[in-house]
Amino acid sequence: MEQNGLLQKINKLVPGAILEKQRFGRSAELCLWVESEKLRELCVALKNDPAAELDWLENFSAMQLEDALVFTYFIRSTRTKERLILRSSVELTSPLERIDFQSLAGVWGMAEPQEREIAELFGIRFVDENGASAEYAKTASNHWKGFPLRKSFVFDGDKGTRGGPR
Amino acid sequence: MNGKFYLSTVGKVLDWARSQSLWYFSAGTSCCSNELLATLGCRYDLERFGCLPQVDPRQSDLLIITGAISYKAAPHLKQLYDSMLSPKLVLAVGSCANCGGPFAPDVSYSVVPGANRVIPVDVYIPGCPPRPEAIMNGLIALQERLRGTERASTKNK
Amino acid sequence: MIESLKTDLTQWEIGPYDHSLPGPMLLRLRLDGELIVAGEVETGFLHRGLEKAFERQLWRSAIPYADRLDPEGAVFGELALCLAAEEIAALEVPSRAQSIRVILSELTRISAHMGYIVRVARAVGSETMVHYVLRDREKILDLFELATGARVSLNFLRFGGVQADVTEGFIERVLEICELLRIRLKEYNDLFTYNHAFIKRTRGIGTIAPEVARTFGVTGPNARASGISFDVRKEHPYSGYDFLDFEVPIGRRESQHLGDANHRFLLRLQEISTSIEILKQSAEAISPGPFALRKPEESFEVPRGEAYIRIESSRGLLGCHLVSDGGAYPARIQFRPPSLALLSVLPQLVRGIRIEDLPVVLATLDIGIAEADR
Repeated sequence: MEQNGLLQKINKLVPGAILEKQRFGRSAELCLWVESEKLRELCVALKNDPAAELDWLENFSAMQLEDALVFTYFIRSTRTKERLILRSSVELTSPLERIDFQSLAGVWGMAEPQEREIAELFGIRFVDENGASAEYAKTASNHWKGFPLRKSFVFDGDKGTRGGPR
Repeated sequence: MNGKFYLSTVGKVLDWARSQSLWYFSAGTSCCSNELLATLGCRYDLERFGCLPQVDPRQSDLLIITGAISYKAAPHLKQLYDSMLSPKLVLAVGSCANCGGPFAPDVSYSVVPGANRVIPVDVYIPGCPPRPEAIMNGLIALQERLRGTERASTKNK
Repeated sequence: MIESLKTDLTQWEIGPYDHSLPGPMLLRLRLDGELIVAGEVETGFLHRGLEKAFERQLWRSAIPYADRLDPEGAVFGELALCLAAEEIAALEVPSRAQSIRVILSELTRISAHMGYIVRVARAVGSETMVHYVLRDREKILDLFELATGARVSLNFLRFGGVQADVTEGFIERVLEICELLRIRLKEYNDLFTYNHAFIKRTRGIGTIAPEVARTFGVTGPNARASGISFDVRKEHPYSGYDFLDFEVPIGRRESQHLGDANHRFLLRLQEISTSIEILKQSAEAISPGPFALRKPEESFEVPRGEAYIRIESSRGLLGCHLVSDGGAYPARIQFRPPSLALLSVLPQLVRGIRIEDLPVVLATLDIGIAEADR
């Protein structure tokens, strides 16, 4: 389905979700900025829509751009050749607190392991539709303070577990 | 500790015998375990030095650590070492096990800068990853240390 | 009296350092006698902070770190990174460099699959096969050493090409290896693949159904063994794969037990054949020319932009999301490892098998813990 048709369909299904449309880097792929409140609604609609059927989350990547965390979802269909990139962002309020964001683990199977990692390394609480956040078994034990992949993380150097040579 | 377990002549024979048959357990993690696997293969053949790979730490004399140790895995490594029966030796293969390597403390927040922070190491083999010849060299140095015929390059100066 | 015997489930933890596991991970199992009733996976024991390490080092150090993403397939990490950087900077890669990249990729794929055969043979208990395969893997590592100077962590690809031209005699040796591997594949089949004991131990075990593969996003040889026809080299061709003529092996839908451990093993043997075919074509068609359009000793900073590249690594679809803000350090490099999907599927796969089949299931899945944990 070509891009304009997809956009019109999305606007009909979930009005007001799309904030901006842009080109992803230098590629020809369509990248949509989505309002974070309407993200799960939009994803469920895209997954269940029979023409688009975007049922495979290929990659879920998070990054920090200045003061905001930007989430990028690379979704595609296992049956057709449809691909789409969704983006959403959330403001980083304080460096040491966890931020809430919508969880898409119920929508796509691949979201769960990546959300678990991003939750721990960026400091996010992924909240599902009932308002509960999954108690993820930690990817790595939290012997560090703060959230490593944020730009504000401070490396406190050699921790000297046995007092060996520096 | 100079690597010898007994001081008498009988002890010397026992040490010599032990050095010829160090059965090892490899706590393999990442890249270096590939080179350890190649060292086991038929071209480089680690078994001719008497080193038989074991799957149970309680039945091995040597613990070979290849690869990076993370802070999460460190207590388990200590438990592994503790479950080995004395006399036991440890060989650290690769930069990550020696000193953190490319995942040094100012680059990585989760790698222990050296396996010697967790357990005492006898011989360090540098390299990223070390060639099979280097691993064999390290093993021979360990054997000679145990026998008491230390080569000049491994003697503490 | 036997009827009134009440048995409870046993709790058993395997790991993190265990030889039946592909790497440091913890498997928590609940067993009813010998049958596994439930399983849970805990990873993170090999979390090295690779993605933060990229941001702490200059651009030129990104390539050696990308090598260490997946130690068995070092070239795949480098290739994904270089292709992403070249897309952002609109760098053109000369065709000789593309051929060299394809040759190195396919050699790495063959060497990774050989490592896979070694692990499967060890899981099943066939030590002879281990040595046969390691002998031939050494020849491929010799080729790597001839071209790049290193056996495992190559550090050879650069943004815009490769680091140096291949040594004299490399191409001839690649063609020789192709012939040798053809003979060896037949030898492996005679010795191991159709061995009755091996077939009994792997048939019908650890089956991944196609729907399960789709739901969890399993890609690569594991998905193709379940009948899903998806190969990034055909869907999103890169680095000259669209000019090569090869067929991707896929599990046949009419075979029984599609997607079981035996099929996964057979598929990888067929993939080695396909890789030999690609190697021959690339080596014969390699054209003289520059190996990079910019001098490799110049320092290079990727301009502002972002890109997402997918390549077919030996385990599946490897994705690289590269973001640059034009500075001397990368802003964000994120890899999408193919083994993450397998770790999500694992609890389902271990349910209902016997404990003695567990090493076989784990070995045939080809999970890379180093890339899953990064």
